[in-house]
Amino acid sequence: MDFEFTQEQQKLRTELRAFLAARLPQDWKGVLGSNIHEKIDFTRELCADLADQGWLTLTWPVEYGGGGGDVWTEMVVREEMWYALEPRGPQYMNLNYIGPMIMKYGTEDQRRRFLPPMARGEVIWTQGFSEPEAGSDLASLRTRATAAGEAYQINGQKIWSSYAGSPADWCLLLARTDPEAPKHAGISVFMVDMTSPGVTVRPIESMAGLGEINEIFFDDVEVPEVNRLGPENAGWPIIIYGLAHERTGIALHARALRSLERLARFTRTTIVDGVPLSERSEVRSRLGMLYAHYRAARLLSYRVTALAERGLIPSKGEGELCWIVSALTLQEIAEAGLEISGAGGQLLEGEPGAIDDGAFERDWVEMLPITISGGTVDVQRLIVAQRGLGLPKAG
Amino acid sequence: MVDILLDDSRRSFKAELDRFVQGQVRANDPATSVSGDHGPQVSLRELAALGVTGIGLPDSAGGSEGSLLDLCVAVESLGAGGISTPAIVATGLAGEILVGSLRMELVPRTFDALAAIASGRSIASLALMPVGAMSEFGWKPATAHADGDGWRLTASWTHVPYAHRAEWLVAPVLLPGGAVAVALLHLASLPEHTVRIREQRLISGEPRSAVQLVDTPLAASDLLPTEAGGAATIEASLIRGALLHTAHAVGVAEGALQMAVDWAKDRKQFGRPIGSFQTVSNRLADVRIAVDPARLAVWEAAWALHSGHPDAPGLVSVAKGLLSEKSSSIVTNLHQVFGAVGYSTEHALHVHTRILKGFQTTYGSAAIHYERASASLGL
Repeated sequence: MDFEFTQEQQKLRTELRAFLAARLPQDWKGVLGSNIHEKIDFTRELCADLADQGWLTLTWPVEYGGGGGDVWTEMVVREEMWYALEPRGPQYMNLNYIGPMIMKYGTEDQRRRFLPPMARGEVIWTQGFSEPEAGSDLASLRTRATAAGEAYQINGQKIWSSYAGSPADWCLLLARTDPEAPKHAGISVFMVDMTSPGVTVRPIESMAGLGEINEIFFDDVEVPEVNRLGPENAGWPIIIYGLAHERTGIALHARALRSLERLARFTRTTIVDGVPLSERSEVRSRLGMLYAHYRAARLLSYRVTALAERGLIPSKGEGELCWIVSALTLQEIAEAGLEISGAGGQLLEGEPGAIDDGAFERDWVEMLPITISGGTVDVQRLIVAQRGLGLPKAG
Repeated sequence: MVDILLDDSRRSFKAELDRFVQGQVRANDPATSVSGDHGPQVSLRELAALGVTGIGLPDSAGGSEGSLLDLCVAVESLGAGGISTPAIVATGLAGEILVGSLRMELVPRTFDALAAIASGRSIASLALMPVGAMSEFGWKPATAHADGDGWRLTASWTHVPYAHRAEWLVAPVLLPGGAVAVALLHLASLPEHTVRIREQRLISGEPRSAVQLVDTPLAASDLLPTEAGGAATIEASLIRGALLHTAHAVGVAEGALQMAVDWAKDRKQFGRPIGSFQTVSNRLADVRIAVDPARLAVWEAAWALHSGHPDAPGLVSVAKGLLSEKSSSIVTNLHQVFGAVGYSTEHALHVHTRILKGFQTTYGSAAIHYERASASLGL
C-alpha cells in the first residue's frame, strides 16, 4: 500500500505548477463570470500549448495523439488543472469523457477524425443530454433522430448544454431513434457539427452571470450516418459509460483544496480584537473539519482511479459516492467562506473592499449547482443504494 | 506509485476473519443487558489462533509480525460483528511500547509479558486518562515519590481498557526529577491494598475500569527503556489508540449497515420492501457515504504512521474526526430504518449503536481531532 506519487509524478506536478504560474493571467479566476468569450479564447491557446508539451492527453494511446501515460500521472494533471480553476476551460470534457467514449465505441474512421484534433487542443465540444422534460430521468428524452437515406434528421431541444455558446464546434447528442421501443432501448448517440444549418444556440443567464449554460434547438438538422456513435438504438450503455467518466474525471477535491487554502489564509491574516481569527479554537476546528472532508473526497477519487488502474469498472456506485462527497465538500467550504469572511465577503468582484476581489461570493455561486450538474446528488444516492448496497428499485 | 487498495494477502486474511466473525454472530444471541460488553464474546485464545493478538509483535515472542495496517484490518473485521477486543490496547498499544523497549534492551520480564500478549494468555492495559478529565485525548502520569531504592506511586485513572481482566498495566510515571518514564506493572504481584481496580459501567461495549494506585511500590527494574522518551512514547500511544478505535468503529458501522440493508430488503410495508422507498435507501446510502472515506482514511493514516510520514498524526486526526463526526448520523439513520426493532435489545443493532456512541469521544472528539487536523492548513 502506498499513498504517495512517484518522484517522476511529483516532478511533473512541479513543472505543471511552474507552467501555469507563467501562463495564467495574474487575475485568473476561471472561465466563468465576466468576459467569458475572451477567457475561452485564452483556454484554446492554453490547450494548444499543453498539447505541445504532451500534457493534454497524457493517457491516450499514441496513435490518437496521446502520450500513453498511466492513470496516476493523469491524476497529477487533473489535480493541477482543477487547483488552477480549470484553465483548459470547456476542453476538459473532451479529455474526461467525450474522447474516451469515442475511443471505446467509435469506428476506426471516427477515432481518426475526432480524437487527434482533441489531442491537439483545437476543438470545443458541448453535450446535448438534458431536455426541458428530461432531467434526472434522462432516458425520457424526446429529441428525435429520423433516418433519411444515409443521414438522420434531428428535431428537438436540448438544455443546460455546457459551453455550447463558446461557440462549440461539435455536440455529443442523445436522440430517440425508435419512439416505439422501451425508453432506454430507443436512444442513439450522434456527433453533430454545430455549424450545421438548423442549429440554434441560446445562452442562458445563470446566477453566476452569462456563463457556460445554453439551450440548443435542432430544426431539421441533417447528421450523416457516419457520425452516429455506436449502433442505432444502443446509446444508453454508451451514455452510462460516458457519465461515469464525467463524474470521476474531474478532480473536484483539488478545487476544494484551493478554496480551503484561501479561507485558511484569510483566517490567518484577519485580526479581530487584536487576535487572528485562526487563533480561535472553533475556527480551527471548522477548518480542520473541512480539511478532513477534502481528504475524504481525495481518497474516494483515488479509489476510483485505483479500480480503473486494475482494469475494474467501478460498479458499486464508487464514482457517484466520490462525486457526492466532493460536491458537498465544495459547497461546505464555500458556505464557510461566506460565513467566516462576513460583510467583506459579500461584496462582489470589482467592489472596493471586496475580500480577495469577491472570491468568496464567486466560490459560493459557482459551487451552488455542483450538486445538480452531472446528475443530482439525490439521484446519485439512489445509485449508491441500488448498485452499491443492492437495495431494490421502486415499483 | 499510489496503491490504495488492500493487497491479496490482506484481503484473504480479512476474509478468514470475516468468516470467523460471522460464525460468532450466528452463534450468539445479543445479550439483553445494557451494561458492559454485550457483543459476542470471543476469547483471547481464539484471537491468538487467528493471529490477531500477535500482529505487529516479533516472531521471537510468538508474534505474527505484520504492521499497524494489518491490525487495523483485523479490528475492523471484529467490529463488524459488534465484538469488542482487548487486542487494541494489549497488542496495539501496550504491546507496541514493549516492542520498542525490547529494541533498547532485552529484559526477560518484558519479553515474557510480550509473549503472553502475543499468545493470548494475558492482557496488558495502558493507563492514560486521569479522573476528572473532560477529554480522553490526553493523559496524566502517576506521581512517584522516592522510597528507598525505588519509588511509591499515586494515581487515579479512569476509562482504563480491560484493566479488571489485565495481568499487566503499562503506565506513565512522573519521577521526582520531573522526567516522565513508562512503567510495566504486574498487577497480581502488587500488594493488595496498593491497587484498586473497579470495572466501570459505560455507554459503550468496550470494558473499562477505574484504576487507583495508592503508595504502590515501583522498582527501577519496572521501568521500560523508551527510544523517544516517556512522554513521546505515551503521545504516540494516544495517536495509535485513536486510529485503532477508528478502524474498529468502521467495522462496527459497516456491520450495522449490512444488517440494516438486509432488513430493508426483507421488511415489507405498503406492499413493497422498505428499501425501495427513496427516503429509506438514501439514509442507507448516507451511511455508506460516511463509512467508506473513514475506512480509506484509516488505511492512509496507518500507512503514514508505519512509514514515519511527518503528516501521520494529522492523518490519524482526519480519520478519527471523520468517523466521530458522522457517528451520530450513522446511528440515527440506521435506527430510523429499523424502527422499533432496533430499540429492542433482542436485536443486535443496539450493540453497534452503543459502541459507536462510545467511540465518538474515545481518544478525543471530532472537535478535538479536527482542531489538530487544521495544522495541515498551517493553522
